[in-house]
Amino acid sequence: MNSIASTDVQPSPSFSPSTASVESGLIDFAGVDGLQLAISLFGSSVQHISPFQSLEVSWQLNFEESDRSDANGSGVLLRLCENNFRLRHFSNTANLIKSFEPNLLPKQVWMRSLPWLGSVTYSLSISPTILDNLQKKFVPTPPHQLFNIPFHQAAVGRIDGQAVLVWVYTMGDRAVVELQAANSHLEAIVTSTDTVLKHH
Amino acid sequence: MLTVAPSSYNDLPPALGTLVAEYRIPAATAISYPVKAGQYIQILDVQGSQCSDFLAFCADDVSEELDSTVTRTLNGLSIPQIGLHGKYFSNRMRPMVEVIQDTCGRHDSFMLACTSRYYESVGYPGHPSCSENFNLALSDHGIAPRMGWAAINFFYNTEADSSGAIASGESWSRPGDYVLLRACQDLICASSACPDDVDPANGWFPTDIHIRIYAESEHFPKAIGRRTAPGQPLRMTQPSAFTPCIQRLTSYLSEYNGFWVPNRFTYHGVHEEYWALRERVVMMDLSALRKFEITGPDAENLLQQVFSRNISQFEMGQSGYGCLLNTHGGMVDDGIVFRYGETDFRYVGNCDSDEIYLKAIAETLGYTVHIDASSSRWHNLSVQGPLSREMLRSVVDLDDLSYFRFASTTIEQIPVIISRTGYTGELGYEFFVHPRHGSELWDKLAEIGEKFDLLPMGMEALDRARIEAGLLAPGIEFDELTSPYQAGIGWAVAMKSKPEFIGRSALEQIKKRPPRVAVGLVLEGNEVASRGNWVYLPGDRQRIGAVTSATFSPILNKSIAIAQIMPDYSALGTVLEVGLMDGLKRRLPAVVGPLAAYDPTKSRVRS
Repeated sequence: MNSIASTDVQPSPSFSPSTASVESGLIDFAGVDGLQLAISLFGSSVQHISPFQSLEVSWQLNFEESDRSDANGSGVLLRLCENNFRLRHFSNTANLIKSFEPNLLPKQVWMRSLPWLGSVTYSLSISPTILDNLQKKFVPTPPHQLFNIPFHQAAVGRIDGQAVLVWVYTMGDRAVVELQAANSHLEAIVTSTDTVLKHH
Repeated sequence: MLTVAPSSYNDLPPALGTLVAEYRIPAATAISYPVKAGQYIQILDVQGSQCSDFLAFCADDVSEELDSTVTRTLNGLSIPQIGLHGKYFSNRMRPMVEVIQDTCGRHDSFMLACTSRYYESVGYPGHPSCSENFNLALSDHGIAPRMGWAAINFFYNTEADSSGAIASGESWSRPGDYVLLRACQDLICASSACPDDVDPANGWFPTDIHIRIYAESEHFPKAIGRRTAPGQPLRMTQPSAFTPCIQRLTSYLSEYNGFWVPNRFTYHGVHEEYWALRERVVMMDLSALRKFEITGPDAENLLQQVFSRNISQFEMGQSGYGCLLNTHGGMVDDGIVFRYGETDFRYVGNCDSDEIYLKAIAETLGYTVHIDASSSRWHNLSVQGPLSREMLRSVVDLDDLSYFRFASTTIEQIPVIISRTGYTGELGYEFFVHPRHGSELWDKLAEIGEKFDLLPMGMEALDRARIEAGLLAPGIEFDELTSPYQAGIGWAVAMKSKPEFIGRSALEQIKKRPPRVAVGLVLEGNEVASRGNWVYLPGDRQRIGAVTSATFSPILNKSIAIAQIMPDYSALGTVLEVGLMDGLKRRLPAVVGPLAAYDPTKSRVRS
């Protein structure tokens, strides 16, 4: 994996709470058959990533009525545990869950968009200092760390005492740092993070 | 900072460093004392078998206090273990103290410090208690008294069993045993010398506890003290020659068999490391194995007696896997014997106590043989994976090194023994090197491995690999009560070619019908069984065996297990059930297969 420290960077990060967008969202799934669902949707390469690693994925769903716009798509899949996954996708969340539903049965898996989970993304095409500066605020939960974090890796910890998952990934030619936190904490975290970023 | 004169107590082991303060807690009393962030607290059991309950409060706000329930929950452990999960937390989930060293290894975090109520209930109204003593000791700090303090009870020997019972008994601690803690913030601490003389907790005779406070400028290595045999000195957890290199790549190390070993590596993790092993090449530190030089005119005779294989058939430069046997056919240890010469062998196993066993057998049999524990002179690094040969070819000639052969050579001037052996089910090599060359060898191999995308591999991935390959783990698949026929390595007993060896007569009987035999199981579905899950005949309530190890095999994409079951049901293809939870709620169908679910013919290691 490449380290983001070696990427070309530009200043002025921007953020956009993903919860405000219908064209991007997070879908979680987990259960005894979580890995098998991931394999059936995205292929066997998902087996190769460890918890808190991710990879770009695409899917082609078979529909008898093939006019569903989300039959084909792409996203980034984060593995959280042996059988727990989180998909960052770029379509309508409710429709996509509906599209995935036929693959769920008879597997023992739940799939949903977690209503309490918010996120904010920062473009990393931009600057490695985003992460350097985040490190000043982020207190990782051992053994997680942010130092030299490579693409497609996440770390959990706290910013100003609030739980945050920091996820660094690429999607096509876009490089992204995403912060995920409880909706109730997100605004404070964004403000705190943004303050740090703007002051550096 | 107050510097205290060197300890004048002559009933204690030497101080570990610069003392800031020290306190003697007379039997059946308790004290409170301040500790600054970064300072170390050493709680010593002066005479042995004495419990010392411990409380800690944030000095700035005594409403924040050490909380045993929070601690158990955050660590996922009944008592913190030195390393990643070695901290005691407060009721606000902040770290209060971290365990740095522990020479006892048995403490309690479930029970209250002893209370008046306990003594009343067993007929001793008015008996002093740790909780009452704490109330007195803490009164100067404005801390309100409690009927019972939820303390951490150091040296208190308790155990919660699967029925929910919490049993207690005499403390395991010996004279001078201690716990060394590092304060994570400014604290007010309280420690007791438990007054309980009405049960075995303190060996019926309460004695003193001693507290030493060391300066924050000190640096004490994290270590667990273990005793391998009665009368043997404490062995503190040690780094291997490769640990400094490993610590550049991960902070997630655990104690294993007296060494600090990596669980997984930062930004890699169990799956990535596992797949690197199965598809490319990995490097891992296996220095926790123990090495013994066995030399002298009777070296071969000794090994012929005590080791299960017929080593007289080994050529120079050949090695063989087997086990050390005892007279009732049990496996004292498993390991590999390397033949260096006519009278010159090395045994690589798991236990320091193997030395004691080998010497005892040699003495009993009147053999002239020298047994020298050489673990401190040989640390070992394993390079495993289908690309391992290709990777190493640039620095060492491997073409003549077949399976279970070894050679002395150099890698860029580093003297090594290279052995074509491993513990992964893949083609691989092990390098034995003097610790002074350890870092150099690690760096060299990492450099060579770069173009093969070599990864370091930790214990989590190794455990999956060894279960897939049907390889045994000591203490899990076998111990001295388990025969090689039960453990699944009956093939490693030279019953046909060795007319006499230790345990032979017992094994002749056991071989006819071992009480259980090891099998591989492939489970239906994706749930992973646990060690100790019972194995049943389908629909039957009678148990026929138990799971010893289980994992989800990434390469097979199946849930697999190693189990030891009654031989009547061990035929390949037999359908059994593994009982999850209580064995009644859910059972998973499982099919008996070879011990090695992955590459059962060992074609990959032999390739």
